[in-house]
Formats: sequence, C-alpha cells, structure tokens
Amino acid sequence: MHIKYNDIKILPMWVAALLLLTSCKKDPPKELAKVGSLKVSFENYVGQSKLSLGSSDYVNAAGNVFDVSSLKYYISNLNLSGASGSVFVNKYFLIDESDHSTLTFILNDIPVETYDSFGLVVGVDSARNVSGAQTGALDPIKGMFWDWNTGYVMARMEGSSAESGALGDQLSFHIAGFKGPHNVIKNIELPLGTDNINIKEGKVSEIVLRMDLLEWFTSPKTISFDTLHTVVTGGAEAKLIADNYESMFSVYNVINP
Amino acid sequence: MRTIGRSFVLGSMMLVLLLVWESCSQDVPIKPQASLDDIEFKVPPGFPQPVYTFGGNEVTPERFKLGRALFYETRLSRDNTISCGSCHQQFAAFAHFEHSVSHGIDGLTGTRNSPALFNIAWHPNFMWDGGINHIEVQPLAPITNPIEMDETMGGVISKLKADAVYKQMFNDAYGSELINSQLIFKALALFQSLMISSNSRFDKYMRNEPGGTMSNEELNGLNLVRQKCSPCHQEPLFTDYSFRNNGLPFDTVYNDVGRMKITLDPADSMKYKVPSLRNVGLSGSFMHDGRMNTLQEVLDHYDSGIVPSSTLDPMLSGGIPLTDQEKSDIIRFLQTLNDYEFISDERFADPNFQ
Repeated sequence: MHIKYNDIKILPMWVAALLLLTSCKKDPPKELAKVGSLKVSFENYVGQSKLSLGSSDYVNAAGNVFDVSSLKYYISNLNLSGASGSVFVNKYFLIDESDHSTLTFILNDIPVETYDSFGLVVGVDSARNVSGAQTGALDPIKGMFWDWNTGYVMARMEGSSAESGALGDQLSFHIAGFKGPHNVIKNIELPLGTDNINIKEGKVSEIVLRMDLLEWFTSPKTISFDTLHTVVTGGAEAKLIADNYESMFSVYNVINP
Repeated sequence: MRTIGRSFVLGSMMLVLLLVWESCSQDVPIKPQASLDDIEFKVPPGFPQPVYTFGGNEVTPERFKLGRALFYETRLSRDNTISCGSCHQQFAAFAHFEHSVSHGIDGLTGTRNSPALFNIAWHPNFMWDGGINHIEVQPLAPITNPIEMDETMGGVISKLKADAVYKQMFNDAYGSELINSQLIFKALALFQSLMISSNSRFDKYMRNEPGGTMSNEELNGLNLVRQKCSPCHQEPLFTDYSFRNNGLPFDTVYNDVGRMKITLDPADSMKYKVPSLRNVGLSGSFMHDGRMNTLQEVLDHYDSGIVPSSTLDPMLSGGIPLTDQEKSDIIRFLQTLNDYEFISDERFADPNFQ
C-alpha cells in the first residue's frame, strides 16, 4: 500500500502499541522466600530436677526448702539472628506449667537460613500494656493482668516455704511493671554456639529451652524467703527478682532435620 | 363526613394552635428525646479531642445497645445482684447518690467514692489514683474486686453464653456469637464513651442558646471559679485530669495514700485525680472518699480547712479565701453545670425498666 505522510505519523504509534503489548506480558513470578518452621519447647526445672507442681521439696541458694503450686510466664517477640540479619516473630505465648500444651509451640514462615543466636522477651512489651483490652494469650482472663494498676504480670510463681513470713507460709512472686526504673521486661539473647538452628525449606527444626526456677532466687541477689516472700506490686523488689531471672534460660538442645 | 361536627374541627384546631403556642414558649425548648438510632460520637463545640478514639471499636447502635445491656447487667456480679448501674446511677449523673463510699456485694464497703460517669472519653486514666490507663480495661477492676462485684471474667462469660439474647446481641454488635472479655470491655467502653454531658444551662449560655440565661449571682460565681479554681477545674471539661493534694486531712481509717500507691513516688502521696465540676449539684458526696456532703463544706474547706503537708498543691498553700457571698455565688454557678438532659436521656437509662 502507499505509505502516505499521514501513515508515517501513525506508524510510530503502531510500533509503540506493539512494544507496549509485548511489554505487558506478566513479570516472571518472584522467587518466593523459602521458609521452614521452628518448634520451641520449654522445660521448667528447679536446679537439676524437673519442676513438678505441688510435690517435692526444692531448695534455693539460701537453703530455704520450698514447693511450687504454680508457674506462668509470658514469652514474646522471639527472634533469630544469622548472617543475613534477624527475624522477629511478633507473637505472645503464656507458658503455664499447669497446662503442658502451652510448653510447646511452632513458629512458621521462618526464612531458610543458619541462625547462630536465638532470643526472646520475658514479658509483654509496653505498647500492649497501654492499648486497652487484648485477647488470646493476653486476655486478662489468664490471671496475668493487674486490674488496679494496669499492666501485665510478666512472670508469676506461687508456692510455699516454712521460712516464709506470709500467712500460710505462702510464696507469691508476681513480677510486673513496664515503666521507668522498675521495668521488669527482659530481652534475653541466647547464643547457640555450635548448635546453630538450620531452618530448611518446608521442614521443622526444634529448640528446647530449659528454664531454671532457682535462678529467680540466686544471683545477683540471693533471696531468702524469710526476708522476701511476697512481691505483688511493682517496684524495686520485682526488679530484683527479674534481674535474677534474666539468666534463667539456657539452650538444652537444638534439633535440625 | 357530616358526623365530624364543626365544633370538633374547631376544637382540634384550637388544640393544635395551643400545642404550637406551647412549644414556641421561651423557657425550655421541647427537644425530641434522642433515640437509639441517634448513636454517634460527636465532640461538643469547644471541647478538645477525646483520648479514646474507638480504634477497632467503631460506634454502631448495636454495640451501644450491647454496652448498655452490660452496664446494667447484674450477672456481672458473683451473686447476680450488682451491676455497674447499682453504684453509678443516672439520676445522680452516674455517681452513687448520697453514698460516701459504695456498698458492693454482701454489703461490703470500700474506701473510695464512686465517681460520676460522663465525658469519660476525655480521661487519660481512670480511678481516683489513675491506676487504670485505658477505658477498655477499667471494668475489670470492679468486676473482679471481692468487695464490689466479686466475679471472674470466666464466670461472666459463662453466664452470658448461656443467654440466647446476649449471643444475638454480640452477633449484631461484633459479627459473631463469640463472647470473650475483649468484646465485653469494648462494648462497655463504647457505651460509656457516648455518655456525654455538654448541655447544662452554662453550656447553653456559652453557646448563646435558648435556655442559657444566667443570673448575676451565677455569673459572679462563674468569674470566681475562673479566677480561683483554675487550672485544676479548667473549662470546658472542668478538670485538667491532674493529680493533686488538695489539703484534706489524712484519714487513718482508710489509710489511703492515693496516687503514690501507683507510682511509688513519695511526691504523689495523698494526691488524687481532679474531678470535673460538671453535675456536682447532682452527684455529691465529694472528694475521693466522699467525706463531704455539701458544696458548702467543700468551699469552707478551701477557704479555711486546708491541712498543710509536704505534697500539698502549691496553689493551695494559702487556701482559697472566700467571703460568704462569694461561696454562695459559686454554689449558684455550680448548679448551672447540672445537665438535666443528660440525666434524663433515655438512651443511657436502664433498659430493664423501659
């Protein structure tokens, strides 16, 4: 056909249209991040003995004999660190020794990587303490939330000891407070040494953490139950216990598939 | 048609005219009662923005009705006798009329006066010592307090779940028959946040509306309050929500140290939250433990009853000297802060009595 002057003007349009059409085909699918899972298990111990509620005579560093009727603590903001950086899991778990189903949980969508450090927070971050009614593990129905001085009880142990000066020889350690110098929220980092967590695609690695209740009463400040048996408000004594229990976790085992 | 006599028609017309004339007369314009379809959070003219902004809890009539049902629900108490409304009575601006401290379950009494409830969405914290930092978690305190309602949240939820009416109300309000503590708290927060008091005679005076006339004594009282009671009782909320020691003698029976219990700071000893002056003519008794029964006593205290202490508010170190006439005028002014529309608003009333 005759290519007239007008056609020449239209021609670039057609070229452009053709180019546009060909460039509009879908991008190749992005590489989906490869992920696996991490099973986290807690074992609550008192020194060398597995914790058993209501039974047995445990002995603290001060030599007080005691038993434990309940033990609960919040674990949140678990994190893994490796060469590529850190992964944070913004979830809240209430570990309750009276309900063994709470001692294990699985974190999904962990990027495939070799992680040489594992961390967690004992407690609930301050934002959640000021944001009104929460649910799930953070539901006040769990008995870990103060109604009179709003805030979460980060860790809570109840028991008895003949040394306790409290009524009925009770031991009550309700560790709470998220503000200022008496903030008891603890960020705990656990280097894994040679026991790296190797997350593999579609597979489940496991880390078993051991918690030693004796650490609550050992150091930096040795607690004797005749002088300290009841902590049910925030403040210096709660901070004391929290500073002690900062060292309560150790990595007992790492199992990679 | 012939059966409708001329006199009937004439009489009807006269009746209509009479009614129209009545409604045009000046003193108090007849306002149609707000209905349950008129549920919206509106910031009154001149009020600052509220603290509570209904995040994740947008206002709907269904949520309001659920919150109201829960507010007046005696099953929130262990023995099903006590509701929020037991100690927060609408006719007293949701305070406890003529009770210095309230009696809870089994007739047990505490150490603190039930505060009046209105304009709650503006409060940055709750209770006389400010120990509760969010409106949604406030109800947990009276519900679980052994001397108030002595119930557990688990107990409350079991009772509500057993009631088909509540299952339906939760469904209408929050989209499913799920009943948990979070939804209970959100509904209560929403209902109470809608309890706004901003239509007293003083408010109408400020807005130049009909019904806003103030006498000379009342205006004098207004000026005195502005001069001598600010910034603690600052307009338009008539509180600045600060914690202050206003010179009350320490009560050795109640042993109440106020805000210090929360902050552990000795500088907060005997400090309590400044309450609003709105509706004080309806909600007495006064002070954190209700120790005063009349506004006269209150003003006499500020004039000559201040007890010095290390945490006494510096603005009160010389008291607030007032003549008898000044006290009288102030009291007259304070009565203009009574919001009769608020205390008769059917939307906030007990649905069990309607």
